Amino acid sequence: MKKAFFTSLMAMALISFSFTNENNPLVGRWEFATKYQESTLNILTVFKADGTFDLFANKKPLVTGTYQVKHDTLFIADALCNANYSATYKLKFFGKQDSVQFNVIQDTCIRRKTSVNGVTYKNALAVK
Amino acid sequence: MKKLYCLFLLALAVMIMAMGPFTLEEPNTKEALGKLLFADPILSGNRKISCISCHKAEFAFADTTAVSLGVFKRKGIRNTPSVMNSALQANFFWDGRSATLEDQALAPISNPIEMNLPIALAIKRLNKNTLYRRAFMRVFKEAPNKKNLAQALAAFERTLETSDSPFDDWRINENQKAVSESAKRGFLLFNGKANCIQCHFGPDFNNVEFRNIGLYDGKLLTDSGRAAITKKQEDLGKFKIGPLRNIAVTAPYMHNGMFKTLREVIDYYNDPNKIVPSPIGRDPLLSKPLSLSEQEKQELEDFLISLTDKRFKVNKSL
Repeated sequence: MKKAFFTSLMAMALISFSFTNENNPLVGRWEFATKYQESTLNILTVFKADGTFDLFANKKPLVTGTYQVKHDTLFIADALCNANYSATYKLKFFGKQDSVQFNVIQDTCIRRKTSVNGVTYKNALAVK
Repeated sequence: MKKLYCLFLLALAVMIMAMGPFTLEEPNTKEALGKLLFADPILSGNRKISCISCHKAEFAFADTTAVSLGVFKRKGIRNTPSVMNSALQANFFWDGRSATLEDQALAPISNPIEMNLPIALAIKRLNKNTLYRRAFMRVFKEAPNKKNLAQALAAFERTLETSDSPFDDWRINENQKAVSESAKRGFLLFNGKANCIQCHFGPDFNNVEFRNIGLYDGKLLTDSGRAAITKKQEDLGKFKIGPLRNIAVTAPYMHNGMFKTLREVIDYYNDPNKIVPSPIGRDPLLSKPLSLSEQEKQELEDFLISLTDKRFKVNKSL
């Protein structure tokens, strides 16, 4: 009985995990490249299933923070701007969700807004 | 006869050895040429020191003394910054007087208290040197000149990027064991209570700004920093925010090298007034003590140590 209970608990946990991923198409690695001075800047953003994200520039950690996706809206916060303030961006996916564009709905953090708004990231796995 | 034969053999060996430098593999790229120049005393007035005399490879291309010694042991006035992780920097030198690596690369050569060689003379020397003349012709399709000398040095400096620290391993590979739990807590402090992230953010943990952290008081601490370049009163005592990668191997710290250890730096930020009681124009971000506990200071230090690229040995375990 006890075993069955734990098995069903585990199954529920697995189901809820896959449910989270299915409903959060952002989970994964997204990247884009841009020019910066004489160098190429490769930006990689890793959105994790636990609601945190990391942003890397040329494999160097740049920003870390938290996020949530509801329908096609991203709520995002990081300590650099203000960990207690969530900006909102409209997500626009392309193809078979192999790329995504972030369009600002509201963001008071100019630093983030100028570097995120309108940028299209490719799914790091899809472009391999 | 036998003796003569031996002498002949010896002379031949000496001749071959003497020819050694001419048979060295000659650089084929800007980066390789820059690397050679970086370590060559040909670029100093008395041919005794090179860039690497102060930017020591084993210390993340920084120096271990508060200020470095130039030609004839002339003392500098500011701490030698690391030249690693320069590729993404927006300005160079503590006062940001150079906007490009190319511009930065030439300045220490001609500075009288550093390498003390006017650039025109440096170019003359390189043109007279067979190896360099050939190498510049091969790489740049032209003889050595001011522009391609700067390009070669800057190209080498751009190769000195590091992104293989335990911290990187933790964040990018999600390797939870890469850093200690203490370092992880230190990262949280860095982003939170200690407020470091307000200035130290970005791929190399600095940004493009200049800040006055309270190390100017007009009496004992008199380096005006950025203001000497911009001539603006509000820039008095401001300096470039230092990158933090490999910080554990680049002691001493700050523009004047006044702090010998990372702990001294953390102690300063924890309560700046205890060290510099009457600063002029200190950033409001540092107006209140952080009230870090001893354990929190240790955690911050552990986090900073975790930013050390794996190529450098750090005595403390992470």
